[in-house]
Parts: sequence; structure tokens; C-alpha cells
Amino acid sequence: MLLHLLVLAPFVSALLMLASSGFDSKSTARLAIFFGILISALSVLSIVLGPQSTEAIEWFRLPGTSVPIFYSLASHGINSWLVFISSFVSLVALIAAKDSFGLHYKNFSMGVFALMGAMNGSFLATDAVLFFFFFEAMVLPAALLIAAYGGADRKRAAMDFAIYTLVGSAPMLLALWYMLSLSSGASVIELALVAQNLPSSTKTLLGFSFMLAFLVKTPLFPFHGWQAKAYAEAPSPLSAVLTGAMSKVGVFGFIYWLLPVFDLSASIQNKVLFLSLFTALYGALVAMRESDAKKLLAFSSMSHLGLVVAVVFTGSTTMLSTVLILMVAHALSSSALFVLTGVAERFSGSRKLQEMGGYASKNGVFGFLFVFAGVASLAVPGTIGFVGELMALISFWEFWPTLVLVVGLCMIFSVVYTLRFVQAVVFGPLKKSKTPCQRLSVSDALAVGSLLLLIILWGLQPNWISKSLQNPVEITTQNSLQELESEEAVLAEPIQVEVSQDAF
Amino acid sequence: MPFNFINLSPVVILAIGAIVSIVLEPLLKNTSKHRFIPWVSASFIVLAAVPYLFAVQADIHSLFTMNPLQRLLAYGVLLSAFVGIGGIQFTLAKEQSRGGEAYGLLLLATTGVLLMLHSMDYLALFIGMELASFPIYALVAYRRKSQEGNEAVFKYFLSGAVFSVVFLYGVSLIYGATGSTHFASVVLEGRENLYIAGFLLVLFGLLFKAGAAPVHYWVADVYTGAPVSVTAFMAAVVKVGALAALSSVWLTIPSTMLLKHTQSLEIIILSVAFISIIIGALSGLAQKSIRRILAFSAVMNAGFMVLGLLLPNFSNHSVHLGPMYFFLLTYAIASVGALTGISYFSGENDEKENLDSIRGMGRTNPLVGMSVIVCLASLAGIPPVAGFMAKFVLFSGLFSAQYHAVAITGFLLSIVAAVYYIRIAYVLFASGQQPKETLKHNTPDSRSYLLKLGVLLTALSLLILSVIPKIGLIV
Repeated sequence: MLLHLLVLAPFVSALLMLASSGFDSKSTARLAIFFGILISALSVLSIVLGPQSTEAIEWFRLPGTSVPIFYSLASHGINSWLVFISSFVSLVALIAAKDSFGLHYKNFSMGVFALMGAMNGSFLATDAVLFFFFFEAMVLPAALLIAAYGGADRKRAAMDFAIYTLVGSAPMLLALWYMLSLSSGASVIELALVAQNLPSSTKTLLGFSFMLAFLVKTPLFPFHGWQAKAYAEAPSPLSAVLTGAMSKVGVFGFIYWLLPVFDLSASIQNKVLFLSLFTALYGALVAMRESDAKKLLAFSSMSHLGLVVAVVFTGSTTMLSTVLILMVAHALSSSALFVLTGVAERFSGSRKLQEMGGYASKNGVFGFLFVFAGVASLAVPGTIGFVGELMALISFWEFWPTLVLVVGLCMIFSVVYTLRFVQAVVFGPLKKSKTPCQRLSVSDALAVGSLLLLIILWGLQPNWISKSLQNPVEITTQNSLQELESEEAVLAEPIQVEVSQDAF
Repeated sequence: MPFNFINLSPVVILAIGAIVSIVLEPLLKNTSKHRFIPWVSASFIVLAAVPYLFAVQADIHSLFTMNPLQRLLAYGVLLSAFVGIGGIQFTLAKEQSRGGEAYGLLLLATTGVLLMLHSMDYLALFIGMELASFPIYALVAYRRKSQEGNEAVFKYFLSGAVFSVVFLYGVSLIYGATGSTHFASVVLEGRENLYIAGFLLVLFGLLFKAGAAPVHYWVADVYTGAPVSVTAFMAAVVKVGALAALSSVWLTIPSTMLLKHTQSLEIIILSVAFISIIIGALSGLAQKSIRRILAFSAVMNAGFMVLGLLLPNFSNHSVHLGPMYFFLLTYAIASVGALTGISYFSGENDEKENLDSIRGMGRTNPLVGMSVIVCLASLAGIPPVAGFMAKFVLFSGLFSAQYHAVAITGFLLSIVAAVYYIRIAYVLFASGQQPKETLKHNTPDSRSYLLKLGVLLTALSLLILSVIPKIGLIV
């Protein structure tokens, strides 16, 4: 029931927002925030209650093969946290958008709720078709919101976003169709069984088709063309949702839908690992040169997520908890930074770093929060990011010590660009501003403040997060365990084995 | 049971409705025609939907038949007709047209389509086809002074007449080969070739109506020449009628012929589908006129739908048309919704239906705008709308039937096509260059109620069909 609510409540909220007043944006905002708080509370509840699943309801049946497609949801450690992230970051976006959207707030909140529902659905789905349904359902609200409320170049941004993600997930759909024509169902186990019996070249091809969808969504290096533009042109609260929550769907896809289904060979996994590390470096380097504040954040996100995906493919024993902590850290700090950058953009009337500066002298609270968020994204000890990056370093060390150098380089670069960014926005002489920058609205401060509070809280108590992963092993991974015991995978890289023994 | 009143009554009700609408027309003042008649016609459509709830699976004089799949499509046709009434009312009221015959004509055409849908005899099918075609010729030329309209109807009428003759010639050959005009009749000894010739002529007569390549050449011009609201109605119902009839014919190919010619039939369908998809997907990209874009989308979708004839496994002679009908249903609802919504935005004489001139219209009319977007998303096959489910089911069927290459090319081209739907959707909600003077019709608001209701209904039914696909996907 709880899981159904987590998926359906956002959609119902979106419908209810339709009935709200378009002219009284204040009360509309109150209503939306109320719904947001409710859903976030539900997601916290689902973390507290631990793993659970719903009864499988037959959604429809494919006529060709009589494969039943189920509407069934299940939560386990990692995805209940991701649902929390998506609900909470959306709530923050709803709060942050309160003052800047005016009459458009109603439509914006509907879009955000629809996006939230789609994200929650794709995190919780246990059926591949259902997963794909929600995965693709994210495109429409996100693209519409960018196209409707974005910056000057929003048309290109929305079109690029839509085309990249649609084209990127097309091979996955084709692969899914192919596998369904051989399968008796669409759960992870059944797909893995199908993959197991395929010749390895076919399996690799199918694996790449799945992978592409996640590579585009996350995004990793050659597939990131949509990202900077979309994050930059989207209104800041939406950018916060896109980077804070939507990009996690890609990472989640790697963990839950790619690795357990296809036991990719070690060399492929290593290649993806290097690609992700390269992405991390590339993102950091571009971020150092970027002069557009939101694009800088976009590339910084890309760098961080590259690191996360790299950890996924190290196959370390603590992979899941590391990845989860890194994702939570990135979601909290990057969405805080995006919201604050939105405020700075309002102050200066431009996204250019040269036209921002000195806001700390006029607005202490803003300065404090901004520096705090910046430092948090640097993974300073005491923040959750520190815990995550430390664990990531350990994973890389176990994998191949040389990698730690590369990762360390990324981290140093991230210090450089973040401090440059903070300095350019907050310190220095006060640049002339479009709107008086004395006030940071209470709602913005509250939204960002709650994010930062969580960063500190979990920075001091990271085992609250990792503890939820130590629940009993769930069925889906047992299958991959059997698979791996037999083959040369033992020689190569026992990723899934480790995953299933330890982490869930 | 030789005669089944319940099964026949929807057709009868619609026919009575058509007569009533036409008889009412001269009795009313010009100013009140468009206020009154549409509601009468629309209520007859709603009324006609009721008996379907109680329909039983039975034949009528072995001319017409009824089964759950046909009933499903009949609902789609009635919904399209309902939305079509709304669109035509709005268009005519906007132009202060003095004639009110359009509603009666629309009901007559709907009657014809329902007959096509239910027929199991070539002559019954032919009567239904002509009953559907003639009112639509008149509707296409409803703007008598418009040059495009005249060109469109001239093309449509001439080529339609030619293909009616082709169809009829095919029927006569089939009659020669079987001694009956019934779909499922036994081919006489030694007359297989005659039957095949007749069958192919019938096939292409129906494919012409459905607008599939290579007999699609009329589609773009006719869709562009007709008033947008008529295009909406015609695009949906004619396609449903023609493809439903085609599939009933397809299901009854005599087994003697089927065994011998499975492969050639397969090749014919595959190549029709392939050409349609390619032509539709690539020609649509360069167009500016929304009607033209949707015309090519119609060609492409016709290609997808005929692929449904080969499922689940034609080479083993097992055919089940659930996926095809589901696709047809979602396509009909989405295209009628999208085009009717566009007709709401298209201004005087539908002159403003280019991508540039509807810019930002959705912002001022969010209800119609959002409904149009839902319909376009369905055409593009983006979740969470029913079009995605329809494509998903159809393509997964193609994969199971081992048509991998066709499925992959078709799907990739459908993504190309998705781009032009997204472009329309984007333009609707882009910030307008001419934001203020948007919708200054001299139309009183009440003349758009039916349209708004209808468009909203299409969007809602598309969403419902995706949440509960079992309604539309009869396995």
C-alpha cells in the first residue's frame, strides 16, 4: 500500500493541482508544498519500515508471447533512499519555486509532481516494462517544463533533451522486446534467465542496448550533449530536480537493471569504469573553464556522477553503500547549489559569472548558505560527501591503486572549480544587480537550509544510510549469484556475488 | 437468430440521427443552426453508443457481424465522430457559415464506417464504403470557394471513384471464383488464380482508403485541402473503417489459397508497411503545415497497422488482431483529438495552422493545449500515454514473430517521426510572438463547449487506455 501511494500520490497530487487556482499562487503553493511534505513523509516511512513489496497486478499481457506484464513494486534498501531523494528534492524545488514562478506556479507544480511520480515509479518497479514505462514517462514533463519556463535558448535545450533521451532509450526498448519474445516474464530474474541462455555476443549487444539508455540518462562522456544545455536553460528549481533526482535513475539502472541481468565480462566492465572516470575528469576540467554558472554546476554534476558510476563498476564489497552515500551526498549538495544559483541569477539577471559577485556583503544569509553548500559539495570532513568519497577511494584502492591518483585529481579539480565558483558569486566587489539582493526569501532559505542540515546530519551519522542496506537479501539477486558461480566470472570480477552477499 | 435488433440498432440510431439533423437544418434560422443541430447530432452519437453495451456476438443475415474487437473499434469511431461534431461546429460557427448540413453528413459517414466495420460480405462492405465516402467528399469541399478545397475534393473524388471500381472489380472476380460475395466462401475447383486476382484488387482498394503507400498519394493534398476539423474526423474514421474491413477480409482468406501463398502475402504486407513507414516518416520532417505533418503521420501509422495483420505468427497461419486493433483505436483517438485541437487554434479559414502561426496558443488555452499534447505524445509513442502501449504491444509482437529487421527499422523511423510531433507540441507552448491577438473569434463561447469536451475526452481516454490497457487490448 505504501509503495502504491509513493507512486500514485504524486500523480494524484498533479491532478489535484489542476483543480487549484491559477491566480492565487500563494495558496496554490501552500497546497503543493503540503502534498510534497506528505509524500516525503511517506518516503521516510518506507525507509523506516524496510523492504516490502506489493502484490503483482497483471497490467496487460503481450499477445504474441502471452508474457504477462505486472504492475508490481518493491522497495529494498537502495531504492527507498532514492525515492526519498526524488520526493525530497522535488519538495525543495516546489518550495524554492514559490516566489519566482508567480502565476505559472500551478503548471510548474503539476509538472514536478508528474516527474516525481515517474521517478518514484522507475525506482520501485520490479517489472522491466513498468520500469521502462516510468523511465520514458519522465521525458515528457521534464521537456515540457524546460520548454515552457526555461531561459532564452530553451527550445534547443528541451528538444535536445527529449531527442537524446528518446533515442538513447530506443535500443533498450528493442532489446527488451527481443528478450520478452524469449522470456516468460519481465522481472529481473526472468530477464537474467533469458540472458544466460543467449550466445555471449548477443548478450553483450543486448547489454550495451540497456547500458546506452542509462549512459544517456546519467549522463556519461560521449552522451552528455543534452545535459549542460538542459540544466542551464531549465528554471533552477527544475535543474535541482533533474540533477538531484533524475540523474540517479540512470545510476540506479546500472545497478538494478544492467548488472544483475547481464553478467557483462570483466573487460567490458573495466571499459565502462574507465569511461566513467574519464567523464569525471572531463567534467571537472570543463567546469574549471566554464563561465556560465549553471553550466558549471552541470559539468560538476557530470564529474560527480562519473565517479559514482565508476564505483558501481569497481565491484568492491562496499559498492552499494558507497554508491548510495555518494548519490545522497550529490543529490543534497547539488540541488542546494542549483537553488542558490537560481537566487543569484535573480539577483544579477544573468547566468554569467562575470556579472555576479559580492552578494555576501549585502546578504549575509545567502553568502553563508552558498559557501556552506559549496564546501559541502567539496566533501569536507563532517559532511556526507566526505564519507562517500572516502569510501569511494577505498573501493578504487582495492580495485587498482593507480586509479586513486586519477580520482584524487578529480577531487582536487573539484576544489578548484567550486572555490572559484563560490568566490565569483559570493565574494569580491558587489556587482550591480538587477533586483535588490538584500533579501533571500524565507522559503528559499528554509529549502536550502533543510538540505544542508541533512548533509551535516548524515555526515556525522552515515551508518543511518548504510544500515538500511543490511536487510535480508532479496530474491532478485540470488539468481545472478547462481549464474556467476558457474562461469569464468569467478576468475574475472565477482561483482554481483559481492553485491548480493553483502550489501542488500 | 436471423435478426438481431440490438446489434443493428447503433447503425439505425445514427441513420435516424443523420436524417433528423438534415431535416432540422432548413427549419432553423441561420444564426441558431450551429447552436442547436450539433447538440442533436452529438446526442444521437451518445445514444448510438448505448446499444453496444448490450451487443451479443451474432450475425445479421450473414451480412454483418459483431465481436468484441469490432465493438471496441465502434466505440473509437463514435468517439471520433463526437469530437468531429465539436470541431465542425466550432469551425462553422467561427466562419458564420449559413449551411448546417455538415452534421448530418458526418453522421451519415459514421453510419457508413460502422457498416464497413461490421460487414462480412463484400457487397455490404461496398455499400458501407460508399456511404462513408460520399458524405466525406462533400465535407472535404465544405468551403466551396476555397481553391485547395476544390483541388482536394477533385483528387479525392476521382481517385476514390477509381479505387471503388477497382474494389468492385475485385469483388466481381471473387464472386466468379466462389459463387458468393460472402467473405468466407469456398473457392471453386480450378479458380484459385481468379480468386487471388480478385483478392489483391480488393486489398488495394481498401489500402487506398486506409491511405497506405503506394496508394497514399491523395492523403497529403486531401488532408490539407479540407477544413482542419473535417480532416480530423476523416483521418480517424475512414482509417478505422478501411483497416477493420481489411482485417475482416484478411481473417477469412480461404485456407487452400493461404497454404499456397503465405509467403507472397507476407511479402506484400511487409512491403506495403515498409514503404508507408519510410515515406511517412521522412516526408513529414520537412513540412510546416500541421495538417500535412499529420497526413504523413497517417501514412506511416497505416504502415504500422498493416504490420499487425502478420501477428502473432502469419507464417504459421495464426493471426490475432488484438494488437492491430489496439493500435488503430489509439491512433484514431489521438489523431482526431490532436487535429480537432489544432482546428481550435487555426483561426479564420484555417489559415493559421502552420507551425509558426500557432505559436504559443496552448498557453492561452491550456485545456485544449494540454489535451493536444497528450494526443501528440500518444502519436509519438511516449509514455505515459496509450500510444506507447500500442506500439509496445505491436513491436513486441513483431519480435516474437521473428520480424526483427522490420521491427527495428520501423521503430527507429518512428523515433524520427516523434521529432515532428514534439515540434508541434513545443510550438504550442512556446512563448508567442503574437501573444495578444490570439483567439479573437467572433464565436460565442458556447460554440466551443462540444469541442473542448470532445478533446478532453480524447486525452482522458488515451490516459485511461494506458493505465488499464486491458480495455483496449483484447487478447
